[in-house]
Amino acid sequence: MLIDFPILSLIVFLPLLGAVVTVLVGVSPRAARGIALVFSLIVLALSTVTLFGFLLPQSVALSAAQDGFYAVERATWVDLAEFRIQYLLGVDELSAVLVFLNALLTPLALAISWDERHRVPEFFAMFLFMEATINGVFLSLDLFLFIIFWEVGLVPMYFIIAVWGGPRKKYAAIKFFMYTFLASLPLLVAIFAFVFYGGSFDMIRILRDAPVPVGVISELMFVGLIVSFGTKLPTWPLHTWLPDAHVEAPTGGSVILAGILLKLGGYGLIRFNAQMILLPEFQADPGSEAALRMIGYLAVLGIVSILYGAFVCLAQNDLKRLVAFSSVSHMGFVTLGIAAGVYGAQIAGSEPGALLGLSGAVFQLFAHGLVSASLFMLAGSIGHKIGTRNISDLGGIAKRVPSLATFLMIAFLASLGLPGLVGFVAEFATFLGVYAAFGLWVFVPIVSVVITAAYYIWAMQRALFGPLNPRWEGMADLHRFEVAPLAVLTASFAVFGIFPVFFLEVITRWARDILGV
Amino acid sequence: VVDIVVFPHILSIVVWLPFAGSVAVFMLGRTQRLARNLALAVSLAETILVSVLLLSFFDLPETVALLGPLIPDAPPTPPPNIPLYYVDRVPWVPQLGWSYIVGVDGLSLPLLWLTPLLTTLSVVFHWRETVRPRAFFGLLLFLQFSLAGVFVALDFFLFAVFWELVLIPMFFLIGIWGGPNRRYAALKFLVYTHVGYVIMLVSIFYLWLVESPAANAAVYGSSTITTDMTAFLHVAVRHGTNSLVPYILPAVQVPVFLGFLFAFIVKLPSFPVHTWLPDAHVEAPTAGSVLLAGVLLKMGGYGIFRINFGIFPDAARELWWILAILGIVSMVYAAFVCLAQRDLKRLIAYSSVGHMGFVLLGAATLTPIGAVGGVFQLFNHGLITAILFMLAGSVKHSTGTRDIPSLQGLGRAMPQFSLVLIIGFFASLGLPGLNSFWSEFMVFLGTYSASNLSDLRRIVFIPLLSIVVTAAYYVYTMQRILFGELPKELGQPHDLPSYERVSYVVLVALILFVGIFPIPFLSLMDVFVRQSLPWLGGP
Repeated sequence: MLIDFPILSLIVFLPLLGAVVTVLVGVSPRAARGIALVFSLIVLALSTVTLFGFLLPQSVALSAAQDGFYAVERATWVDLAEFRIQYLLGVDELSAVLVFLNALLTPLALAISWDERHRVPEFFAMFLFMEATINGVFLSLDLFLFIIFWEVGLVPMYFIIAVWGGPRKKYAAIKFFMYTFLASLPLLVAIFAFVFYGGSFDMIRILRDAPVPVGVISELMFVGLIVSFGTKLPTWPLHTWLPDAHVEAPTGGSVILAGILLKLGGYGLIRFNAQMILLPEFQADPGSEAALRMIGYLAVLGIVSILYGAFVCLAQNDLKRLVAFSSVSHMGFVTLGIAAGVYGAQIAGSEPGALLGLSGAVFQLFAHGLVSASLFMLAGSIGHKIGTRNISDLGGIAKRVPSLATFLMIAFLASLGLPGLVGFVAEFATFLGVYAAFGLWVFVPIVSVVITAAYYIWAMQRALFGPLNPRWEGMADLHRFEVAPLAVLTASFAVFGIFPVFFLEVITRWARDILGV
Repeated sequence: VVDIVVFPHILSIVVWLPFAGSVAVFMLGRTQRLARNLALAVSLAETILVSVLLLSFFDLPETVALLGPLIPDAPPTPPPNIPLYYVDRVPWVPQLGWSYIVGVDGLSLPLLWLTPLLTTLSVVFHWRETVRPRAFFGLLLFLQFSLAGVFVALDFFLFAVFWELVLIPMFFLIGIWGGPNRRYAALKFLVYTHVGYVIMLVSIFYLWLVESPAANAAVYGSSTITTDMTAFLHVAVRHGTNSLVPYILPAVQVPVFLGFLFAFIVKLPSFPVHTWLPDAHVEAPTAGSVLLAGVLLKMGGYGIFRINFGIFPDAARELWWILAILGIVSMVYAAFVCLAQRDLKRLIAYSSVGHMGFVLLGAATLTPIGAVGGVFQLFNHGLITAILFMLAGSVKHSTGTRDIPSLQGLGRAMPQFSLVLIIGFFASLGLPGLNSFWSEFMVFLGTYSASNLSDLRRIVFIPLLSIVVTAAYYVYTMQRILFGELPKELGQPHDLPSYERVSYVVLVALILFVGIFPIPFLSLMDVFVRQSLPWLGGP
């Protein structure tokens, strides 16, 4: 099957169209939900086709390949002498995986919000709007287009928190908005620098020509971009907006926030920091001290985030806060994995490990997207049913709500990296990469796995087992609309945990291309 | 050059039609209905006329058939010249060198287009104006006439006349239809701008009496004194591209440049001469605010590009840092002041000061991209600020207050108003994808890439921080106005009346359209910057 229609434009703009249609046509909540779900499923189908273009290239062929990107769509938008902006979309293995994740989680987030009562059409439209902007970030290859989607994406999430959030929603919403808006400034300056030195907004050209002069400028840009993408990821010490945003966000909002929005940071670190600055720097001078320092920044931030997130989790009582901080810890693996991958590729003999490190980082983005989505659905559901998410208030609810408890248990186990589930593959690959690049430092993240296991199992014990807290005698188990998305996610843990080769092969091939080993 | 324009005096028609309309309203507008319908008809006709002019710049076959091909006015001496179109020349007082000269180019046309557009929307917005409607609509048309005159006048004398004429209708609009403190505000407005005007006159007199014979001789071959701006513009561009062409000495350019600059930054306004603006806005009626912020302020930006940059290239190269400092201070200062405002109109007024700072910074970069961004910012701010001041008018109308802390919960009570407010605020804070992001981005990119001024590259962070503060005050204000429970004191506010909705729909559509397709306007401005200020970006 040859894909010769503008599939990427459809992936980006169909959700937007869906959002408009949902608001205009969805007069009844029922109609709005149905329309939104149909649109998100069409986008899921399209992004699955795109992914198959990489998994099974012999049966699905993406047209218009250029420098490692496929299905490239190019049109002039603004054409002044020094200000040439294109409408430029393209997909590679990295973005295909993340777009697929986005397209998968959006219908699930819609499903988990099925009982929303307040301003239903607008609520569902916001999710589609969100999906469109995130797909836009992953797929746009023009810096101007990129920054548009990057910043416009704040708007729907702001409203999701501010209008449909919990009691402190106003505070959380403006904190989210201001934090991420402030953090996008260094990105803006870095874009000015890319344009100034490269004379073009075209990311394909920037990736190919590496126009940024090595040395101080590239190091400054690197640090600025870490601030921008590290806030989104988030990495310690830029993470403080995350717990507030999660605690106040409605369940569906948390799912998207943790499941995909954070991945924008990881994507940026790989696409900009690693591919546009760090790797060219190493290519220009394999022993570059600036490049080594950059590796150092990433590695230190990764390690601190991993440990800090894990230790803070030990002290959390609110289930959503717990999962939020565990996200900080898990995203630390991404930062560390990128550092290990890029650095390992420079050391003779450790190239296979390096490939695993970078692939592990990408796979971790994907795995964490699935697992945290499930965790936030469950945390939201508990809060919804009994009005509290405090672990200390729960107790023994496994007896009352067996299916909720089962899903929660599996999600906890997946998140702590139980072999056979999806998180294990990502973390294990990252460990191998870290070992290959940094040697025995690998013990630091391994220690964190122990802590992670501790807090999850402890939380599980207190919340699910033991004597039932009599207050929750009447707690209802999961509703059908909750079981459906959770079942899909839980099945995906197993599928991608047992057969990671599908993905891992594609990602490793991509890693080999960009690392040049 | 053969004049094959079908409408030979179309630009003069553009200028004098609203004057005739104003006189007609004063004479015939006996009832409110009659006055407003007449005003609407005239401003709408004017909008259509200027739209045709605008379209003619894109070389469409239809406009070529109607107006003939677009041919710039050419002086008898060899190029380079700056291209000016639809030029009308009539000698007026030849002994003194005064003429009636009008013409447009890519700088003035977008602003000229904003003038009738915003006037029309203001008339619609005031559809139910009952206080002395005849005078109100008559003055609006008169204001439109004088504003159009400022943007097209290419003779210093004519320019000064129109510049001063603008004050009169605005003075009365604030003084008669304004709020409780209107007299003070109207007088302050008049005094500030008049002082600026007088200083500008000194510069004009100097150019006229001392420098004009040389310029006139170089371009038109006659060494009499003249107030013909085009003589200076043509010779300046020759001098700017080739410094061997003799022109006003740089040491002389500097003080004359500063005289003009003072008048323009009062009008723009820029810190520290901006203090008339918040008062004028708070007291002015909605239409007054819309035209004041939407078009009147643009006279300052227009003057900087037309006269400071168009006539004094050497001084501009020398004094860019003044513009940069004024621009950056305005942006940062205004953003912080906005954080502390309670009155929605004051907030918007101060935000205008910040947004006009972009214009100064864009000019200061001395790069084509920065200059295009600055000119585009003038246009974009005109559209956005019009919407914002209308919103302030609507909320006052509906709830009786503009005090932000006492407004709450309007999201549920006034959903249409809220939607427009969200779009307007996000457009004004420069959300990517909406129109002002383009201009702000270009100004920053120009600042960053100002290669002959490498210091600016580091400064770019300061104004960038101001956009964060801007985002903060807009989002914070939006949050306070829209969310929460409606307080009892506000009663039951009604949503937008149908005539207000018309104005909003047009403006929102334009904001979205320009955000997605900026090219028609950008290319006009780009051509202007490249052809009329070709020395920008040079060493």
